[in-house]
Amino acid sequence: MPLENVNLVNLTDKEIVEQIKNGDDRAFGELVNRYEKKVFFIAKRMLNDDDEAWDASQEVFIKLHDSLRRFRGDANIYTYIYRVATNVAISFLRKRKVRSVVRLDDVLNTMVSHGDEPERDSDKAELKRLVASAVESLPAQQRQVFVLRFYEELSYEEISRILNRSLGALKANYFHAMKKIGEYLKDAMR
Amino acid sequence: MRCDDVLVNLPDFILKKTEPNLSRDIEYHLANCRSCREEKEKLSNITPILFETLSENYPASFWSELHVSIMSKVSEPRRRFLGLKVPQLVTAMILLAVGIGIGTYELTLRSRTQEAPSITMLTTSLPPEEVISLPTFNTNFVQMAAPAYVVDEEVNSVDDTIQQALVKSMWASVVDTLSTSDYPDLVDVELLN
Repeated sequence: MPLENVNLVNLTDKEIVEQIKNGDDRAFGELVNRYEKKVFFIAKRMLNDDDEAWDASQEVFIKLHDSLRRFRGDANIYTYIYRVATNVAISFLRKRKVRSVVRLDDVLNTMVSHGDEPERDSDKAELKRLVASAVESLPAQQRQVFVLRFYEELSYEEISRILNRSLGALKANYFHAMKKIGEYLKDAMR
Repeated sequence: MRCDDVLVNLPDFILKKTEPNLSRDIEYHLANCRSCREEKEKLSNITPILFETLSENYPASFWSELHVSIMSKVSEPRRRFLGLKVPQLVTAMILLAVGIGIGTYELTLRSRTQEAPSITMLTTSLPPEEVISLPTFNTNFVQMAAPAYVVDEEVNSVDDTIQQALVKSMWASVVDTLSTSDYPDLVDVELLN
């Protein structure tokens, strides 16, 4: 039975999941509160597109809503959420009929053309776009690992549980991702 | 340490996330390996840029709108049939239609090209003359139905399954059209279905 008077903010993730299993919709709202930013940023960094990240976030939580009642709880809920989020992002990548890659020329042109913004903010914004393009240019597996390790700061053990890959493979993915991003940025700034 | 072991740990080493023992081993290796040192320099150059881009600022209203949109999507009734979502259902229907098409085409080819299999495979206790003289049998039907039982033991693909289901349903119709009192052994045939 849902606990009407429980302050959900004080509950652990595990307790929140139990409440969801008991049919407490408020508990699902609390789960969304806790994880919507994480989910959105994973999607955003993998897709490099706010609109798609928005749609992907919705899809992630729909999938969670439909599946959490069957969640056995033998893994951490965040591991499960990250897994769903990365899988949804990958499926969005596959669905893209025309990849909306931000072309390097466009990035460099806009870096020049934004003269009316304060210089530092403008440079930083364009640097972000450049890095986002570099991340977007990575193969899907390397991109997943890079986003989870660098941005989400998850341990390799956690990423291994999420992506079901060996630690050695993850470390290699991370190294190659970093290296490719470096080469991309070097070319862009030449 | 081998170069490969050092390289895969370089990002963490640069970001100071490696264990002290591992850091010492990497430092020792770097002091003696020029190519790994060069790789380390390259990665070290990009990390400040990456950190520069870490912060993402969205207004609070963005998150509240996202929250509302998620909750509204979640509360929408999902269109499902037999536990399948609409796109999955459409895909399943298309696959089924294609499977039936292929199955029917193959069955037609078989009925034209193969010698009619003997119905005694199924109704073993019927005397041959009874089998041949079954009055309501459409010969083509029997030809089509019988091979399905030949392949019944081995299902290798979805096509096989669909083909068998198709033939079995045809066979069921054949059995229905016969009077089982006239042909009591056909009960055995039904059991095969």
